[in-house]
Amino acid sequence: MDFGSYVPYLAAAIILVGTLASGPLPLADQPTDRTNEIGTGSVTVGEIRLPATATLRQGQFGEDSYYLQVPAASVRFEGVEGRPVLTYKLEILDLGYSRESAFFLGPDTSERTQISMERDELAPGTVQNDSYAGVLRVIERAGEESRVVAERNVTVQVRR
Amino acid sequence: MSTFDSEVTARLAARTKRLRTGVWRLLFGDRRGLALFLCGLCFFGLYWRMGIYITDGSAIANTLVNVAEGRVVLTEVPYGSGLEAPGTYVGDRGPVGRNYGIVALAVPVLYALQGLGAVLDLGVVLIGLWSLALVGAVTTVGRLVERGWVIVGGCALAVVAFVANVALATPVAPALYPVLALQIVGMLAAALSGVFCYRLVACLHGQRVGIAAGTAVIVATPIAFWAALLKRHSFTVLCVAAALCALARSRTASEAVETRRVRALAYVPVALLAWIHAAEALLLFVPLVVVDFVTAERNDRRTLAVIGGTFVISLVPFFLTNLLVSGTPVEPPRMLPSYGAAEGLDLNGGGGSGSLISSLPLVGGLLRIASRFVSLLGEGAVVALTEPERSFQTFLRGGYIPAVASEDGFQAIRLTVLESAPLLAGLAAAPVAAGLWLRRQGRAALGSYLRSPAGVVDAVALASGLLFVFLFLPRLPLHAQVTVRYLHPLFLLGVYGLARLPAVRSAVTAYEWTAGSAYGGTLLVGGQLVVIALTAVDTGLGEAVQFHALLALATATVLAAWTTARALSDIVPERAGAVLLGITAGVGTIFVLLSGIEYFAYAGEFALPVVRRLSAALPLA
Repeated sequence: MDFGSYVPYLAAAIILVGTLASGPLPLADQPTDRTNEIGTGSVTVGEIRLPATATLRQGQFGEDSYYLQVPAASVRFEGVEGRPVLTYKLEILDLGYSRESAFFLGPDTSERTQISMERDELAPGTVQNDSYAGVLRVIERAGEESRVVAERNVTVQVRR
Repeated sequence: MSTFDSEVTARLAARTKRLRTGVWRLLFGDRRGLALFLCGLCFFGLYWRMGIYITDGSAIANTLVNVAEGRVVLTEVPYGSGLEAPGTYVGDRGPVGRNYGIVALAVPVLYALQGLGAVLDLGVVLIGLWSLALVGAVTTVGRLVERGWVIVGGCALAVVAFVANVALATPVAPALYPVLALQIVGMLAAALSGVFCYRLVACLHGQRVGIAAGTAVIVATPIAFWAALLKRHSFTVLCVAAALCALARSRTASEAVETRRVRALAYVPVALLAWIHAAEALLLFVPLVVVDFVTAERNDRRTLAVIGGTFVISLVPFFLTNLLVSGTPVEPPRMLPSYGAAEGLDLNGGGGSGSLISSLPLVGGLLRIASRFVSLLGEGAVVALTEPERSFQTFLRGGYIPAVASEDGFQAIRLTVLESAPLLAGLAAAPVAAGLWLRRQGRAALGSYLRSPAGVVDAVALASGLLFVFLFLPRLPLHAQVTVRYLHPLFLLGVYGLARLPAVRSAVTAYEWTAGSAYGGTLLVGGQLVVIALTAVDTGLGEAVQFHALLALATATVLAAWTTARALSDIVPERAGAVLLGITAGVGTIFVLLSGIEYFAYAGEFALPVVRRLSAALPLA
């Protein structure tokens, strides 16, 4: 117990000193604000592979909603200038549904990248068919303009 | 001169010490209470996300911003949808917020954060505070169990955790400080709820059962889930626990003076709760005052004066706030018309009732409030009796309820009381145990039971719990509840009820280590199995939450079967009960941790950056 009686004070002292030493830290890492550049420049895409199917899977364990899951697309960039934005978009006309996710590109974007779409939930009542026709698009947005880089028809399979 | 000086200094020092020990005894009771408190804070810190989780949090943060600058009326509204944020009301002199009691507690914390943030990196300060709490927790626990290695190992862990977290620390925006202040007082309240539960149960059944109950409240119930989420519920639970604790102590005190003092003390948390949520305070006040005065040994004039005086003095902040907010001392914010669009979840008397009340004289206003309240409770009682489906979906199994899920983003992210705290399944044996007791002891024993300390607390706990159900059941099931937070006090009262069951008490005291190991095993091994299972299925958020629900129901069923069987017959092995209590508590903790670290990680950046890495590494919803 004797050893144990001064250890807490030692530990507390280390933590306190460490905390007090953090004073100048906020000055050191001022985040550089580059948000105003986002959405400018352009991208040259070498190759895009889009999936042929997506799924609408009904939940388990008492969750009745459908999960819309879209596999990732793989993109090979040949050149990125500035900080353009790439969006990955799915549209299902019969459901009146569309969803997209944006990717912010820049000098540190690697040559091969997977762009993905987070899963979404659809109410159980809205999904009636066994499959739906959808369109997947990859769109480049720079400034006011947008350009479809790739497009593919997908089958959205319903799994109950 | 110097002797005078030293005399004054000595007297001052003695007084400070008395005050310090007084506050200390009032809050923690003893070192075990302190240990629970610190352990609770460290636990909540693990999944503390710095941010606003549900929209209701915006209004209270806005209120704090203005109160900290000395205004009751909201002129600066930086959070959420500003004045449209739910929880904003039309006050006497402009828009006002609510939960002023919590806000008042958070003001000094906010000032401290602003001061610290001005000279230090606040992210590092929070990490430092958490690490210091860990040092305090392991030191207190190590000294209690007289194990040096607990202290040395724990302190080493705290230092390593500090260094690792600081290495990954990111700056905290000053705009978040008010949110952090509210989160900190929320966690303090939640941790103190566990402490008061320990003291309440320890007062009636000894320290070992008390510690088990206090720990269960802190780690195995949704009280842990909501600890840092900017809602009032932790404070409601704390006030209920503190009032019951004082009530129990007033009935076990040996001297008449002590009895009177502690009885009066029981009304202080009620008054403070009124400052936070007046309707909930009434749900606690009515049973407390009735049971207390009916069962007290003496209600002489002096006792009445002390209790009444204490209560009225404690209500002063409530009256003052109301006066500033609505212009009437008895009209709390929630009775004012909502500022934003229809909210419909509060106790406002609809439309323009606010102005109507303020035009009435004080007594008329009070009568109107009382009659409206009684009619609300009456409606609730009718709903509870005539709509069993509503109760089923609130207490037992919910699953996907279309009307609720559509407001929760089409996700079944709503658990029932039992699904969020499977430990409470043990209460299934309560009616059986009560029936058997009555048959064995006879009706004559009932009177002396109702006057015993445990009987008095039981009566208030049961009545208050029922009133909470009656008030809120007509609005349930509801979205944005996750764990039926409207009925939050039931988790505390449920754990108290468990501790009142002889079968549970004897299993916990006889097989402490078995229960502890079962809990640890469930958490460490079971927790990993849950992660593996959910990863294998690749679950979405709703699926993950419902998986926890089914897991909880499965373990809860077995526990309910055991407690009932054990109450009927002594042949049923006691050790099995200890194991089951450990497992159900562990299942509750697994949900608290995974929901905090993973499912609802979007509530904000983690205060402990190492947990952010863990959260990113876990491949779940």
